[in-house]
Amino acid sequence: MVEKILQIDPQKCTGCRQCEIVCAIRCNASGNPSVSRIRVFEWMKSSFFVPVVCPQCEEAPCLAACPREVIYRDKLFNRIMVDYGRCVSCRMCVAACPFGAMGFDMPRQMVFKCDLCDGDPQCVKFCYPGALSYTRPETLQYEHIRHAARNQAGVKAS
Amino acid sequence: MIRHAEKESGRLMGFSWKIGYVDLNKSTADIETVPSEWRRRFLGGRGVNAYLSLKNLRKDPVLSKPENVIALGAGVLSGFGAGPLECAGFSTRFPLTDRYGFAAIPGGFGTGMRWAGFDHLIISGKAKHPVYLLLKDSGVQFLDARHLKGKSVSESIEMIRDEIKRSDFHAVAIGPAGENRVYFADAATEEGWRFGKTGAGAALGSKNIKAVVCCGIWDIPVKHPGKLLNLLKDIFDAMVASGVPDLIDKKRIGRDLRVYSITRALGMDFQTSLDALTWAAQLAKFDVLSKQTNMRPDISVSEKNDPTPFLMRIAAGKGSAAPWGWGPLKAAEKFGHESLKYFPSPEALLRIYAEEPFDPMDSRRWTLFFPDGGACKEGTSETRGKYNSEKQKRSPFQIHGRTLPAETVENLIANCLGIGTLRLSWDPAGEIHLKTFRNLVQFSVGLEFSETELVEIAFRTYAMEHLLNVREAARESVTPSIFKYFEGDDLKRFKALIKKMGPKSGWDKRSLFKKHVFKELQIEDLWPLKR
Repeated sequence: MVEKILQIDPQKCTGCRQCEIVCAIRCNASGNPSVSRIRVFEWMKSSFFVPVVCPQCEEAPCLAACPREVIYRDKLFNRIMVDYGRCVSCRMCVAACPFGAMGFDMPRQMVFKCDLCDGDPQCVKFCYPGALSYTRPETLQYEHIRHAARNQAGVKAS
Repeated sequence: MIRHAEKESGRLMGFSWKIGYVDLNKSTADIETVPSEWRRRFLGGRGVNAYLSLKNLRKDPVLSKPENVIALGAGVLSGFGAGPLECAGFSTRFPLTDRYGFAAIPGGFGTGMRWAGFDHLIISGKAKHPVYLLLKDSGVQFLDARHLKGKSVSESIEMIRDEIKRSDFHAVAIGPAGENRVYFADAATEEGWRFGKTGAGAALGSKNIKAVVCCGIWDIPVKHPGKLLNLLKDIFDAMVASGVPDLIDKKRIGRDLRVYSITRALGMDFQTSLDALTWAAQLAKFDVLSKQTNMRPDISVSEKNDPTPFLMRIAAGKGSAAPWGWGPLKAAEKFGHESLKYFPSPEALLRIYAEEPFDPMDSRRWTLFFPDGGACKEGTSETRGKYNSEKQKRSPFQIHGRTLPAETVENLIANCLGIGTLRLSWDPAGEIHLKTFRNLVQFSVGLEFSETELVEIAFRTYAMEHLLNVREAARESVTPSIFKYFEGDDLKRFKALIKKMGPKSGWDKRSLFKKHVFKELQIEDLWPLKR
């Protein structure tokens, strides 16, 4: 079991949206960000960008809302998956997701959500500012600890 | 999953590339499909722009008249996640150089065009009042922009954003300088990229276009997604590892920060504006204008003075400040030829000047008739400087039986194929990563080219622009406009140069091109080019 999670740091996001297009290419073979599993929103025209992606909730509303119980937790990568063989595209999961992290691909008539690229998220690979990371949960706070320590010591980041 | 996606992409590869022929006189747009064989002949972006310009640009188009045609084209890699490697193209007859040229639009505008359902846009005619074009879902809307008149680029884009109620759009817009036809007015994208320092803004302004806005979610199928992502990752990693050259002279930017921000708001080229300021200061200091034309400049320019009012008067394009917006060569007609001696950058002024005999295979001399439309040069000068040390190196490519110098190939590829800043990753020792580009095209669009074919496409593109410019120059058979910049021995030498260049370029005494030129370029469908 891979115990890693996709972590977002909006303060580092520059709004380049490379993650969106890379995700669309990888998952849909299309340079169309409307079918991207990750979306970047600009906060109130303030140049503050917030990437939004499925957080793979512990108690996932999409999983609970699915009437055919085709959404399940894949323990290998600790992610929520859709069994497309049995999915009827009723879109209840899209409506239930409080983050808007699920979407619907109209031409293909299927719901979509982040599948963590089978443990190798492309959005993370192409995020050069470092706003996205795929890390172990226990190291989540390390970056903030380093930042706080640097501030206290008066040392600039290299 | 990737394998599944590749299979899917094969099913979707039937999507077509679209050209929008926009007629501003009638406020109509005809949409046609780009024939697939054009992709093999011209690849896209600049190549198709040049071909469509050859077809549509009437003889001797004057900036202020509707006959001038603007071609906007998405680069071949636009929309494929190539980031800094992709760019769009802006081709027209530029006012400052008075020649057909090309300006690269960096950033995501080309991608925006594709998402809106267009690959190329040919804009002709002139709108009755300022408009902005909204490209959306493979259609063109002509929206009133009278309320945007006089607004800066950023203000205009903010207002457009509120009007169309979308934030996911791409746009190019002009400032007041472009509206008032300042010859070095540039245009800028919503991301802040500026382009077209030889008058892209004036060209748009002359057609009463305030902005071109793209929004949409058109599908752009990728042929080999997995391979494309792997290659892009390798390229980006290499670029990040090599570091971006220090492209900006920070001391100068610091000193002239105020001019930079003002010209950005007004939509004027920063460097040419600086030249105009320094020139004005020199002319005022030596009192040249009063000696030559009995007029005193109403300017107060010095290192200490605030240049804002002077620059705003230039951008307004009215009164005695108007000639400063015409560029040095045309302004000198007003100020007297003597005034050119005080121009601060003679090398920029004389870049059309060539003392050595013309060699059609020498790209340096090509600037004679290929004035660049003000492409984003900042990304190239650094590497070009390194590369020039190797310019004697011969490349493995041949065109029409002649081996091209490596430098020529570099210019051809970098300028004509729309690679964006891929040139930054080139090895300064001289190796051209043409194979990388070939793979990018193959993995994204699905077209397979050999490296020689790519060089030929680049050469064809340059040659088509060459035909356009030579046609205009040759038609002015008595006194070509370019001659007026030379005097005495210089003029004699230049005339001899033109005479020698004619036959080599394949045009006869009636300034019509011979058919073999078109045949060699595989554009014989355009012969005879009489318009």
